[in-house]
Amino acid sequence: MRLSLIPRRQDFYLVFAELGQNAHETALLVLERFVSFPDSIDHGKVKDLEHEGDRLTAQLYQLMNTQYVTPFDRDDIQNLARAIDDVVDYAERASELLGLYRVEAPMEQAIEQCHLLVGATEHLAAALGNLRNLRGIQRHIAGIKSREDDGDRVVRDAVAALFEDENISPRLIIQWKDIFETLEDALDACDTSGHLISNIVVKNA
Amino acid sequence: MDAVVVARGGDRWLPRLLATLAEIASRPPLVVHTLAEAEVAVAARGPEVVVFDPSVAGTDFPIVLSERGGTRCVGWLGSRSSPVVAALLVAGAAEVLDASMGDEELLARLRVCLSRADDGRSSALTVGPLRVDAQHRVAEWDGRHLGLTAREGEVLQVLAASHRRPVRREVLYRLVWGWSMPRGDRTVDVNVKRLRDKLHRAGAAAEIRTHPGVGYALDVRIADEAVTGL
Repeated sequence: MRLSLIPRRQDFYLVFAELGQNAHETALLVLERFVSFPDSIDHGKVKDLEHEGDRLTAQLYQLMNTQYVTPFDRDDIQNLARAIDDVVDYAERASELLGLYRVEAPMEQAIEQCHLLVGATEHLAAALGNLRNLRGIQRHIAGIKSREDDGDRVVRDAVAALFEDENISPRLIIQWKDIFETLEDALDACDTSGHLISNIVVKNA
Repeated sequence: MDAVVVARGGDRWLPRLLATLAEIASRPPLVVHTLAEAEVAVAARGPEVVVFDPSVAGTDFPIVLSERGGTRCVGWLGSRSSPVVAALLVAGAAEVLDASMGDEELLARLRVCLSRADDGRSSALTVGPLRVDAQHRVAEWDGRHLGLTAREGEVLQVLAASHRRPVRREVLYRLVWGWSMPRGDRTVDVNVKRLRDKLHRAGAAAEIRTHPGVGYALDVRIADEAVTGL
């Protein structure tokens, strides 16, 4: 594979913006699936977005491998792409668990987590869309952080609810603890993405 | 064999009784802790046997239950007391068990009690044109099948057993699913929504009303207010 000496910085920005948009669309679809479960959309639609995320990540890696000049440090690009990919992967996994565990109905705390994930990915998409000029990004980083903090509170309360009564079905505890923690992982991945974007801003501003 | 146990939450002998019942029961016994819950549970599940602690349900519980043919009423005492045993037998208890009995004796007494012939039992509930028998997967409106799942049938039977009186979501969950409902769980709401849809599609003159902060109540509009099977 030959390295190109002509910089194609625009392509990096475009792919990052698309990755952010894809993460947000995934979160919206996962929210829709949780709210209306079990009569909701098929998990296949969420899976399609996860595949789209993988395709975009691969495209970004290919750009990195073929460009001599990249807009940011290669490590930063790689780590950020991986963190955004994690957001989509965890969200998709939570959606998949609803079906795998044959969940009968959603829990309110999980829906609240999905709302927070939608908010966090909205900020993430906005921050990634502004990587070109690096303006107004801190506001979005704060937005992601705020959702992640709320997410910590919600997941603690959600897990506590599973252990409030000793006669709650162990099967239900296993199912929901796993789903709550997977959604929390998705929110954590948003937060990690936010930190990495912050680093990029500091290095390149 | 299906069993309902009416006992105090902290009864230290309860696990032993449940283990004994599990040997002969076809599904895990349902444990309830109040008389009100016991009445709804018995009407909804139509169990073959109800094992009850008289300190929870009262010594006259067998009399309350006698209207329901076929359900055997078995007293359960943490410590044996002759006057209480006598009172329970007089009230119509089929057997009185106590914690001093060994596992084999408990099991044998329960088996003998259950083997006594009684074919008059029916788990069906009829409220006007609505007939529901969750045990036999029957749910009909005016003779037409409602096409309910097993869970939906059980939810409808509990609501029918408590016709027009609201049943708390937590109680509904415990009676149908057999476990405590975790805070935030929407299983009951989802099943009630589906039940409403199916009742509506069948043209049933029945409504499941939401009592905010409480639960749900079934209201069947009937001309002669006939309710049987309770």
